[in-house]
Amino acid sequence: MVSIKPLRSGPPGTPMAVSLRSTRELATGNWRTFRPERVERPSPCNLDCPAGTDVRAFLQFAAEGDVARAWHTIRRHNPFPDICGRACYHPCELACNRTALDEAVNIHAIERAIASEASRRRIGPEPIAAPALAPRVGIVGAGPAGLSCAYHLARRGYPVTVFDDNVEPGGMLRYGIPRYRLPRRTLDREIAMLSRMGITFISGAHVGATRGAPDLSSYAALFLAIGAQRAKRSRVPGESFRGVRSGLDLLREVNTGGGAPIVGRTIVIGGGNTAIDAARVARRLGADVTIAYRRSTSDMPAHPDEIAQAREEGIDFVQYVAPMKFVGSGGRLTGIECQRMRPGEPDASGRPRPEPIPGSTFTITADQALTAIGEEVDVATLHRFALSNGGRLRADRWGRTSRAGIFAGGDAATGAGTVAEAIGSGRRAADGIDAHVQGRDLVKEGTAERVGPPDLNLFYFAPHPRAIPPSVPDPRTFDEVVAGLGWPQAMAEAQRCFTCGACTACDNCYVFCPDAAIVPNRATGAYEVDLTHCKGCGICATECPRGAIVLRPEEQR
Amino acid sequence: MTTKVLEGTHAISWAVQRSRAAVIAAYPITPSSGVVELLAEMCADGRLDARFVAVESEHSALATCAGASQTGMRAFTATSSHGLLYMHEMLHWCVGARLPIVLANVNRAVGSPWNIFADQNDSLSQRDTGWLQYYCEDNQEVLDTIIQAYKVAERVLLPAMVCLDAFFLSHTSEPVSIPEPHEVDAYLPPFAPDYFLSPDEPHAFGGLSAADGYMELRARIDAAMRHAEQVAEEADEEFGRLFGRRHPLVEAYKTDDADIVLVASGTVAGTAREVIDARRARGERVGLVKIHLFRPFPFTPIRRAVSGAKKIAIIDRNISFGHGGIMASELRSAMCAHPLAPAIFSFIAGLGGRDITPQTIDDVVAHTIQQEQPEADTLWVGLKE
Repeated sequence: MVSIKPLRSGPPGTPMAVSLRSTRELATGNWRTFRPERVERPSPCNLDCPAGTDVRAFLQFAAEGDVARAWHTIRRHNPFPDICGRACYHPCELACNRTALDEAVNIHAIERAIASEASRRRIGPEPIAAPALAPRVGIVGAGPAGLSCAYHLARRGYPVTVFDDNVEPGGMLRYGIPRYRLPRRTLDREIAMLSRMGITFISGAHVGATRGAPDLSSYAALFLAIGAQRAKRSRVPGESFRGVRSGLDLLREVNTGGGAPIVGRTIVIGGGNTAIDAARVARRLGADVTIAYRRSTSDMPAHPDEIAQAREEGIDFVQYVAPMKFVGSGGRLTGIECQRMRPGEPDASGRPRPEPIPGSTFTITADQALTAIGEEVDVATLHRFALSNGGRLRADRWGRTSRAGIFAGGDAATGAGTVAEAIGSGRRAADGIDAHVQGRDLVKEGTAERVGPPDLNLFYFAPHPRAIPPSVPDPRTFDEVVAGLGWPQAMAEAQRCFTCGACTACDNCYVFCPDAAIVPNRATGAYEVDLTHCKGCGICATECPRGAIVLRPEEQR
Repeated sequence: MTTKVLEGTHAISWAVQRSRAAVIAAYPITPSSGVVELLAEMCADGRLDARFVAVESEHSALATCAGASQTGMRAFTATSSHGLLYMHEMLHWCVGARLPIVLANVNRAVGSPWNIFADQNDSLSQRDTGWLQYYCEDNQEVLDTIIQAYKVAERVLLPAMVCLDAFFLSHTSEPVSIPEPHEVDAYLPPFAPDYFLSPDEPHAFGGLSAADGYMELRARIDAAMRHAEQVAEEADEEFGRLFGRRHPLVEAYKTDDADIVLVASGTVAGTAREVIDARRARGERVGLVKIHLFRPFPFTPIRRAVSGAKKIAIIDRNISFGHGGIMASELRSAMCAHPLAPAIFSFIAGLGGRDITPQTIDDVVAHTIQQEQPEADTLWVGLKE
């Protein structure tokens, strides 16, 4: 029979509904089929920087206003932030995920501002390794690849000697790139920093000479970075007329203090950056300049900013025009016989292959012609080493050639033709040389997957226009065209960076985790996942603005 | 001991400060806003070391207090009328979770139509939620009762509501003695519940309890509520020893030989004393019973206080529509088996802040004397023709 009685005192038990045992054991972790993992994945800018710069990291330091750490971060991979802030064609910005929201971060302008601010504040280089009893390394070629290799070896304590047949070091930085893009004081300042590291420069040394060439036998390793100094011949008949020369010749002449005024009409043949440089220099020397290209202007390999500035300086562009023959009288150029072209099927580059339009030849009058259809290695220089292969030096990722102790890099080996590629090539060669001298094996870095817009949570980023420094294209002067960003502007621009693939301790995972299973460690900035409670819902990974948390399937139980 | 001239709301604030509440969450509503305004100042200027949480509703205010109390913090909130009604769900929850929160309710009429004046329907409509309910006569009693309420609530693990009439107390200034902090500390120990939410030793609170356990939990609440009467009695005794003031749960005033006993609560009791004194001066055998503690309902003291009376007149500043005065119905249930079976006259008066003057009360007493039996269960006082 059921008990029926008055309430004398409460029935035994706790006053409220409460579990007597700890709820720690009631963790939801055993529901989990996916496990969140905090990862650091490479950002596209880092992956696409040919110099190997940690772009994401230096942008973060710049955003925090820490100019010293930003500058030192760049210089861990690249001795030339001030040069690259100007002369690099910044593939990092093409890769920038911010284009999924508004516009790429103006990385090169920030890099330049970091260098300028570091200089203004007289921030010195980080101390380098004490010169060890390392053997001396010889470097042939003082262009960006050779200088980069010298710098990275010097940082590791190697004594380094750099040979170059020019009067001053710099290679294409000095003799190719016009001053309005890269002022000489910028170049000299950053190269001088290398001298101060104890790197020895020997100028006027023609390594390829049959006689009087320096003795390289005492070097533990040699790095050949002689560049691609020679303009490719156009193979257009009539190149011997006076008035026909290569764009590279003109650039070299102007950059060594020459540069007589040019009168009359100048046709530049080519569509790369050298063509634009030559055209803009000729314009500054007084010429009326037209660039003729056999494809469409939009298919030019030259950087769009350069093309735009050339237009602003009054340079004309004609597209779908290929030179057939230089014509002249009395040994002097008077015109170029050309063929009109039209776009055909895409070729290996993905661009439409230009096809001649039958019966469309015509002649352009011209007082000068500048050819700029590519550069090649002066293989004669290298007969000593007998390494040439199809006009280039054959070398692997670390510059190793078929001969032990002989390394090669830069344009001479890669044919890449950009400052950043050369710097990266020189740095990897320094790794290769170091490993060779120390008898170590080289390990290729893993290829981690890049973080793309689908990995990000763009909800957490507000649109903000890209900072664009003023540029004043002026064909009357060789003064620098593009101005720099002020430091506060550069900091603000760096704050536009998403920091793709790396945790910035934004606390989103901590705030949103419904199981309070994200445990921030305020001392270290790390976030641990309490796996006894994490049920693998994935909210942390979804709410992470920058793709720094990934879900991995649990192994089947 | 400090004496200040305080309005009722600020008497509450001082009591909460002396009780060292650790978390205060409130949403302002007339006429209770002054309570938390002063507390906010005290939190800001350091006079009270408490976390003041500004919330967006009364429901959240009490939910915040519930959370704080669940972790073992002494919590306080104040409200009135619609604010209290908005807390309704949380009022129930706090009881079931056994959270000894103290809430000051300024008794104010409930709309529609809007009315901000004295009326007990707001708190009496929350009668069955399981909160202890005190009704106060003056500002000193308000201050003392808040302190006592923490002591009782924390011993029986039930929340307590301290009620005071809108404006007649909330906005009326009176000299009030404020005990020194160390004196209150000696009376009111720190809140140290056996069960509390802590990340160091996690337990689940208030999880699903189906038919197999729910009824026993309810029985424990009822047992605790009934036990609260004795605890409240002891708490008042100890308070009297330490501070020299008593606030009996049921106060019998000049009832010893009274044929007619008037029953009242809140400020009406204060007014009634005058009427009793005047009639006593004329040799009439009338007395007053003041209900100070309404929940748990103090059956025994009430029965004792009215035991010799031939007639009882009770004034309710509230109404249960279709039934009558709420306190009258409680009194009738207490007296239904009384051997003398006194006639109970139930008066509804002063709703929505309408004045209950000495004359009103005197008329109520006169009516009770004249009539042999009430002409109806419920009598309305002063209705306009």
